[in-house]
Amino acid sequence: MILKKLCFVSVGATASFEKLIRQVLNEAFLAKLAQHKFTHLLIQYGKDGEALWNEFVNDFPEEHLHGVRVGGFDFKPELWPCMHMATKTMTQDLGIVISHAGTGTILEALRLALPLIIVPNADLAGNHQVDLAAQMQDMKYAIHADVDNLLEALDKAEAQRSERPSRVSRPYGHEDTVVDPMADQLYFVD
Amino acid sequence: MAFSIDVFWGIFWQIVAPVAALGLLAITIILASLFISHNAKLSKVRRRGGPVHVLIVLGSGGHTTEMLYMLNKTAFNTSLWTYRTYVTTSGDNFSARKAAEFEAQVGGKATKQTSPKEDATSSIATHNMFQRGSHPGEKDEKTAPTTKNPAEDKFPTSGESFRIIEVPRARRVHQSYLTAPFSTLHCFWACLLILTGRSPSHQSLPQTLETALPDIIISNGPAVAVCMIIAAKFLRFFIFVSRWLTGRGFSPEIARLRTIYVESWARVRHLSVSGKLLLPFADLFIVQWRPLEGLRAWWGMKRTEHKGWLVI
Repeated sequence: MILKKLCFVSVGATASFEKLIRQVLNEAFLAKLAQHKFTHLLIQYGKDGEALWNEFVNDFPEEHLHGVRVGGFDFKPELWPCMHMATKTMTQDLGIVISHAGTGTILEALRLALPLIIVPNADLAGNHQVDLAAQMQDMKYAIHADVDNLLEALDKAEAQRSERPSRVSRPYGHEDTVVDPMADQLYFVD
Repeated sequence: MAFSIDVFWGIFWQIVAPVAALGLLAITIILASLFISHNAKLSKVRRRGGPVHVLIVLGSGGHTTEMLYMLNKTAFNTSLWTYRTYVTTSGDNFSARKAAEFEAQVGGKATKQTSPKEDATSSIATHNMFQRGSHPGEKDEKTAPTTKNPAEDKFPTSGESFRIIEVPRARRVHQSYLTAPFSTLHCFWACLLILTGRSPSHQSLPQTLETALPDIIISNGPAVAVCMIIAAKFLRFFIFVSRWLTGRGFSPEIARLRTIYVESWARVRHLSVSGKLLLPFADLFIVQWRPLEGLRAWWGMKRTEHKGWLVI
């Protein structure tokens, strides 16, 4: 039996990222996915991505393209069920997440130990997203990519699967919580 | 000619100079009190086991999710944090709902809180998001975990040991910078009312609490956090001055209105705007990456503290 393997793409809710949607709703990208044995592509395309999505559905009305089944939706308040569909199970191979550098998706991918490609939105001012993407790449949690080199990034991510940490290693060595420093601020009698 | 110079000096001595002097005095008082507040040594007089009122500032989706995750990372202890006030910005139903769900979970009143990770909707095989034929959005809503069912839109905004309060936004997205100062003041005022227990949507606090003032305020970065933390410091300044004026001096007092700011995990090298603004205000400024550790507003002020990754 062929294991199902998902590529989940998220562009977030707040800003449009048409360039990224164009790059993934593209025959070349789907062929590349098929080459890496992906069976499903799911796109969270955001509010402004609807037109591009409808255009794609009109161009390719059949459910499979290059053997990859493609689904899309605008937005959900919680994306973890989609991310969880990329985890390894009896019937599923470990998939991949392509994120617009939103903190929520990056954190969830780390928690679920999913391969990750981070594509910061260059049209937005937030250069802290680039800092984070570069840092994640340094720590081998993710590939820091650009909309124009997504195919290469996918090759790289697939090649580096074995080098990837299988779970979150604590860079500072301990289990950290916010409630302990909170309790310190209450100044209890010793 | 001489006449006009006289007029100039007249205006200068009667208006410009006093205003400048008052302004300078105000700035000196503000800087001095921030300095004193950051360097004050607090006495440990709070007894364990008593009531603790924590105020949790929630923001937009991402901030809220991270905040609740941080609090519940090691099971949230409701016997220590006996009363919780959640503050959301007006119109942010997501955060309010999340707070109510969090309360249902930590209060042990959850109806069917199975671990979300074990939910059946999260496997490719059972998902219908890949089906075509009709508008995909309509299909999604039938299987999405948060359905648009009106009955589920209702959630409790207060309970025995918690309340969820809205404040107006400090600045709406795309709001003009001309009107922004007014809405920020509006937000600041709403924060003051909440902190002193005078907010219009105020539900009566339990009798066990001596005062409406929260013991501790925790926030991780939305704009309303800036208002709330500055409002708390503002109140503390007045409490300090009134104690001094009424001759109660500096006798040991329970630490209240303590402010904690947690910088977003996404900030690796540079503080956020909220963070930069709150650097001289927050009593504890937590960062999650080493490059941000040890920063301070200016000489003599408290430094940011690194406490590891709190959100994973």
